[in-house]
Amino acid sequence: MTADLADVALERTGGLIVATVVGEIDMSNAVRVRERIAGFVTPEDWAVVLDLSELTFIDSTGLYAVSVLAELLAERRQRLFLCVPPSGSIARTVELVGLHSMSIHADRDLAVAAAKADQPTSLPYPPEQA
Amino acid sequence: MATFAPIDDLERLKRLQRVSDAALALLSVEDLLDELLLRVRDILGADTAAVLLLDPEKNELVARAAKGIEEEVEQGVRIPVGKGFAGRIAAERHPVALTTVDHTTVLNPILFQKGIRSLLGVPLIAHGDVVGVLHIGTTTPRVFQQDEVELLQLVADRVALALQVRLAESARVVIDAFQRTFLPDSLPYVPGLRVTTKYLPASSDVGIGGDWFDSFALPSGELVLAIGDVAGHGLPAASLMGKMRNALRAYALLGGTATEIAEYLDQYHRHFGDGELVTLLVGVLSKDLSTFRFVLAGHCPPLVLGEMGAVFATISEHVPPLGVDRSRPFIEHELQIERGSMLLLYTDGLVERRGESLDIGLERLRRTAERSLPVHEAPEAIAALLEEQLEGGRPADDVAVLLLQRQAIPSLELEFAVPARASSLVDIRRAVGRWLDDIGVHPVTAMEIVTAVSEASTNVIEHAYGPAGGTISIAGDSKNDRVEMRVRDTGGWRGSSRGGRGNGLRLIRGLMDEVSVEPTDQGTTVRMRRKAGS
Repeated sequence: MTADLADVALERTGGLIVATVVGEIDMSNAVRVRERIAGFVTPEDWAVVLDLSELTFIDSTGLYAVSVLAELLAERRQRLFLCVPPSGSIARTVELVGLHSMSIHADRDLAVAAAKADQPTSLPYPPEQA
Repeated sequence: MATFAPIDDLERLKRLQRVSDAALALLSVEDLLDELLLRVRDILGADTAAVLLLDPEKNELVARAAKGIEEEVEQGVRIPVGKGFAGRIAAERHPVALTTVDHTTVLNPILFQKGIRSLLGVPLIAHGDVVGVLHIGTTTPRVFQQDEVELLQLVADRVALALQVRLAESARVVIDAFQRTFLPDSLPYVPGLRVTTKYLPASSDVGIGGDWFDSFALPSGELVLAIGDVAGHGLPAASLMGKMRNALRAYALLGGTATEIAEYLDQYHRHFGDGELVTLLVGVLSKDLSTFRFVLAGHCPPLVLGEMGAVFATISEHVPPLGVDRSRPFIEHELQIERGSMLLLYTDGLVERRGESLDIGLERLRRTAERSLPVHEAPEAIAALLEEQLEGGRPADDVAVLLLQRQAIPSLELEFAVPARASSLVDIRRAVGRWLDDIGVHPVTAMEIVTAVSEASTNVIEHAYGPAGGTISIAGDSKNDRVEMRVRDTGGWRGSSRGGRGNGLRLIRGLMDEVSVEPTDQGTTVRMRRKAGS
């Protein structure tokens, strides 16, 4: 472990990013965590799965950072899929703060499957002819 | 060549008076030297005057003040002892007069470039040690008379003494600042635990030594306790102590075991250090406060006070201090810290006496601790221990003591305060979580209460104070299966709700059974209750 409250692991598979946050998110690191994830996303990526199943604490500032991330992605037609285990204190906090509009899934596989089902089939501009 | 009339006794006394008047006592070292040089130049009818002080580490003289040859100080001239004019005076410890000033007689070209034709210099000697050189010069050739040499030496003796006092004072100020910075007087609040520390400087004039202790919480909720002793005294020891303390903190933050922290610190010291010996005890206390895993390097073993009385931790093999070529690996020892027991860490100044074996000193400490520690509350317990162990006197060597007491019965009340900063939130969560666990609240409920308290504290940080900050007070009590938490500030609230962020209070209300916000002129209290059982 390190001195940071949260560790962020990022991996990309063909335009789908899985971001796993381990530890705690509060007002001391919420913006940093958000920027770490947002900074990893390129225009070629089409979705981010944010895996919070190994998170031990999140508060309203942390969830606000998650919703800002979702908006930033939405503006670019990229989507955010959340993974929050249904039992446990994180789920309770998420429910009370009410991230209604978000796509929330019980585990990582389900979140990834939902993201893949949502994969765009066409690009805004057709690829250039050789 | 010009000569001056002999100086009679009355004149000598008058002139001396001028370099020892009381007003000088109030000046700083720099101002004092400037003023004295002006007067010396005047009294002896010279054109230049300069003071060089000895840097004992490098065995060089460093120009510290000059009149008529200010370049000397501006250029930071350094003269090795034994070389040139000033270096010769320091090495031979008696006056030197020059009537030829050129590259064959002086090392510092500024002297002849400024047109100095004659030089007279005397050593500055305090308590038998050369501390520097005072010299005067003339731009016309001059033969200094014996009585002038004597007068300059008399002046130099006074300068040396005044300097010695002044430098000792400024060293003490720096050392005090070091101590304040490097010896923490409190640990982040940990329910169920009390850590008390004490540092006693040695009774002699050598000033503070290199004893230090440290105690801090890691982000994981574990606690690091460390105590050590850097060989030597004064500023070099204090500054090495500061480096070791900071390096230890940095390595501890990497989150390793006591062995790993000690290994890193040992490597650090052998790479960057100067071969000084540093003894060390570093240990990590588990999050549940029950287990202390520690490593010793040339340091005395910790003393545990429990139901069985006072017992030293059993050390199977002794490992030498840091800085020694390491043939043996560090050995990690483990101690169980039961509820109601104590752990005493100390430096050898507490047990060592001249001409006595260490075992006798350790046994005396064991008995004294057994007798005096359990009957007092900290910090009186430490005061009583030191009083008995040192028999009321000041110690011959520095003494650092760190006493950790684990509470016998979980307290049904909690109260602490932290700075209103984002970085305090994790400390708040650890402390409240530990307390709720201690009083037996179900972990899921405990986590929700912790979230509510963290959330209320976030509100205080965002809204209660200006950038100058303030404090957050956290209180809790548990009665009839109900936990009440209070988060209090002493600020005035600004309007809340910026953008989509007004969720804090909603979250608190959702997590707790009853919530009230009580604003007063002296600040705001958020009171939250929750049934503990579910």
